[in-house]
Amino acid sequence: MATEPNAVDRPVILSVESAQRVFRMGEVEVMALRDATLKIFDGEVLVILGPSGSGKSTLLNLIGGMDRPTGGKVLYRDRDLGKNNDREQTMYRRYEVGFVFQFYNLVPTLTALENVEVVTEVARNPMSAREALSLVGLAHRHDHFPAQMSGGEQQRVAIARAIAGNPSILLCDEPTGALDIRTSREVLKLLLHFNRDMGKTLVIITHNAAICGIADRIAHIRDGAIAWVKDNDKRVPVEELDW
Amino acid sequence: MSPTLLRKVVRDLLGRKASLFALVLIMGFGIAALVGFLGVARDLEFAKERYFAQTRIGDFYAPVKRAPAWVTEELRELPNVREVRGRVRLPILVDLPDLTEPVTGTALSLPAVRQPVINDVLLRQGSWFSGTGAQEILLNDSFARENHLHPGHRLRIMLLDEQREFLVVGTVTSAEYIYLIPPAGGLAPDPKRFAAIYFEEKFLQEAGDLAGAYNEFLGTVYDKSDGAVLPMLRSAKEVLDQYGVVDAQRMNEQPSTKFLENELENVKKSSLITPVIFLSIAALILNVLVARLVQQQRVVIGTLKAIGYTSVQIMCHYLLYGVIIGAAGALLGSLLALLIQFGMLSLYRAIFEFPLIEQRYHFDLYITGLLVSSLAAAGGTLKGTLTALRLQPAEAMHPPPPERAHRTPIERFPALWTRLPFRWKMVFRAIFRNPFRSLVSVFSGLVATMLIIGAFAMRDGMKKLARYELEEVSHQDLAIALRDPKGPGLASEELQFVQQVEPQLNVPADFVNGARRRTVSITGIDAGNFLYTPLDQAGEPITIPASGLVLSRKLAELLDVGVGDQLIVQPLIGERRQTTATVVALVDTYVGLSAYARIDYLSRLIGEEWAANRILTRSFPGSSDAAYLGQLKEVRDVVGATRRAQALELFEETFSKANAVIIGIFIIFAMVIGFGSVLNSALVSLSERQREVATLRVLGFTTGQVARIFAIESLILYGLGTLLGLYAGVWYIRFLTVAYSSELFRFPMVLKAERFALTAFLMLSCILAAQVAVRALIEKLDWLEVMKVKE
Ligand SMILES: Nc1ncnc2c1ncn2[C@@H]1O[C@H](COP(=O)(O)OP(=O)(O)OP(=O)(O)O)[C@@H](O)[C@H]1O
Ligand SMILES: [Mg+2]
Repeated sequence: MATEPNAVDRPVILSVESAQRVFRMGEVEVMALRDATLKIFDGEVLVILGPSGSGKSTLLNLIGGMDRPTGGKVLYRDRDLGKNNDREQTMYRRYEVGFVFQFYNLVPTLTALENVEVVTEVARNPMSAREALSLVGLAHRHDHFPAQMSGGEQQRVAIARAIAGNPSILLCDEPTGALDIRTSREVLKLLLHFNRDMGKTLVIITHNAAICGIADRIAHIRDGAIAWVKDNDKRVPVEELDW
Repeated sequence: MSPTLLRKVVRDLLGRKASLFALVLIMGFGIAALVGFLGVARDLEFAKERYFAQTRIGDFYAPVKRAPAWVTEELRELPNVREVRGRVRLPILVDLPDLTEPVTGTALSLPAVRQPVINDVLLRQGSWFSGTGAQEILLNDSFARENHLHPGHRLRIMLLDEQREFLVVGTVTSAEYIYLIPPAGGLAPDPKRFAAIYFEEKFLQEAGDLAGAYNEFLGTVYDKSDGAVLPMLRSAKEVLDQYGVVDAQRMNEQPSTKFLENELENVKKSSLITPVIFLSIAALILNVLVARLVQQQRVVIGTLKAIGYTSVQIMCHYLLYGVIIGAAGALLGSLLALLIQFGMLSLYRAIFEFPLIEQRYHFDLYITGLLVSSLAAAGGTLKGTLTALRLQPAEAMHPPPPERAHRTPIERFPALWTRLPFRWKMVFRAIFRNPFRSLVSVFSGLVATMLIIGAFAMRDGMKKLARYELEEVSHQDLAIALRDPKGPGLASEELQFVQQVEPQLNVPADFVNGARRRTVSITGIDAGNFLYTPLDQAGEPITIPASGLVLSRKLAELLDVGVGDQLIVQPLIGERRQTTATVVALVDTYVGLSAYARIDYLSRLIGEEWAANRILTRSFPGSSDAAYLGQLKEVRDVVGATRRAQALELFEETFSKANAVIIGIFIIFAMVIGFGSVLNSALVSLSERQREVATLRVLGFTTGQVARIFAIESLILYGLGTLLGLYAGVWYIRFLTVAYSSELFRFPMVLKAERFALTAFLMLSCILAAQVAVRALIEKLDWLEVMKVKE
């Protein structure tokens, strides 16, 4: 059963309460998320670990406002995301959340800079796209298209895009899933940097246990439920992560 | 609209240049037809209105036998009549030294001193009558031009029964004579043989035995609506009845104006039919393209939604593809429209006698074109846009669910399926995997085929029309018109040198059936007719029954009568006694409205035992007409002579060439649809199956082998489309013959096997031409890259 971690003296930014997500496919019902309860604290680094098919992405979609639970609640600063209409969900994603995906999901026909501008053009209080790019160390590659960049570079552009809109929370779904270990370290380092220096809450979901080393807390998800959550006792510097 | 996403749109489009090209071309041609034809109609209408205003064209006219001048006042008193002018109109024969046959003409009176009158003329060359009492004339400008006549020349003219010499003092144009079909009839304008000649009023009155009288009244009205004009025309007819009124009609019932208006109407029809076809096809093809784009960009759409773009923003984004293509199409279309305008107006300048037909820019039409094309294009993105709108971000992140391997219908016959080479299996899978796209392909093929076959049919119909009127129905060499109906024995000695002679009687008459009425010339045909033989639908000569009327189908339709029905007939010459006549048969004719009767029956209708006012003759084979044609110029009572061969020639010259150009343009238009849609569909298919292609290339297939797979797909879909199109073409031709059927012309439905074969060949060329482009793209495809990239 989920064990409450030691009290963290930070406000709760997101709270998942017995969330459930059932997919109906014709006759068949797929219970992607059975019973997930989880608190996410402002400014923390949370790693959600679980095997393939355990419901990680489903949970992330609920937290990120891309989907609504079929049971239970998802609260963002006390606001029930499940009750949001489509427009409110979109605005929530636009203003509060930055996404980083496993396969970067850059627009192939836009340059690095333009991919970031896609966000800055609609955000409320964005940083400049160039600034975001230089924060990930790619200012010099601003006019390169995704196809002209390595996976790691593309992911860094994706991270620049995620932070450029000044979100409160960064949601990363297997951000290193497609990268080699060296590049993965760089990407994680960047993400941690934005957590520490800009106070972004960082949620990483992965099936790679090694990544737990950088977490403040670790949540384990199995068969559509949060099996346990615990504080991370053995913090490892990014440089020493290995798998 | 986010500027960055705009850049994405532009790059996405530029990445699909070939498809873009095809679409913009089709769209552009549609808009060109819309803007071009409407522009042409406007320019023509503008030229007409201006010309009519300049020459103060009246609103109605009423020919009579003879009415004293003061009747003008009586007519002016009628309600709604603004002004009336009386004039003299006489048939004349002009003796042109370099023409063997006499030229039919019309003499019209004008005031001796220049003053604004109804149906005025514009002076082009020379000056007005000198007023010295000399025998002076003004010539119709085009007649003067074609015959190289100038002020100062002298001309011999037969007025009534006397040939005299006149001095040409000037040339003029008149809005009454825009389309110069000679009064004796004909299919094509003939300015060289169309003499409208103006004389001083007093002179013409005396020469025509009409001293102090007129035989035609022209008038203007206050209120031009039917409700006000028709009762006025009825009262005018009553007033003029005792003076032998032939008719009182709106001026636009005159053949020249009527033809012009008919042409205007046809142009307007074309401005509707063609764009509808083109824009629908463009919209369908665009649907295929954008649906594919959205499918390709699933993840991008999901990501954009995830990072906070609203569904409406995404929708607008994909709508923009359509709007940009629409705008490009409108731009191209507006430019092409200038060409259409230029071409058609040049044609009209050759056919119509206008002082000026200006080609103008119609900015509101360009805006309309832009709106219409954007709308069609926006409609064209509908399928894809809606998919994008509905796509949930979470779902979009997943790769699309693996396609359920559709079993194609052919697989239900395993015996057949297992025997198919694998390439064919791939083709059939591809065809059935995307039924919408396949249907669009078949449909575009169908439409392109239909358009080509329709264009050919219009051309053949036009030729048939001329051949029917001038070869199948008429067999004479010469038709000689007489001033008044004459009794038997008119085959005077002038005609002794011809092989065959056949008399005819032409009686203009009012046909009335209830509220419907038409004025038509009834042709009285001799019992043993062989020089003029109306045909039935099977092309067999019909025997005109001894009594009763045979009507052309269009006339029967307009009068709402059928075989066995009775009509009120009011002959407009002779005794002019109103009677009833029975419709005994219907025939198909293609030009004008016609009615036939036996010559003796028709003679009795005008109170004669037997009369004729037209003589058809056929010369001995190989004999020259020149001798007796020349004599005819001096024969009393002859008002004109028309040579059939020359009419046919003239028709060929005036219409056939122009028609060939227009038809050629239409065929190019249709082939653009064919080529464009084949190309686009092959490109979309290629983009969907890049991986397949790459895999085949990895496995060692040559570009040619891969290209052949796409060629087979195109051939199957468009081949089917072509076959269906050949069939649909028959219906399309039927539709065209109905749509463009008017009182003046009906297009015969002509179906020729070789045209169908040629159409199929042209479509095949389109398909193969598109394959060349596809092959080039397959060659360029970086298949290694394709294998690496995750879609
Ligand atoms: N849209 C959907 N429709 C039906 N079933 C779904 C849908 N999305 C997820 N599932 C199912 O729910 C379960 C959890 O899926 P989810 O994608 O959350 O797993 P995951 O932990 O992210 O796995 P992975 O590590 O492979 O990404 C799986 O069994 C999956 O098949
Ligand atoms: Mg997942």
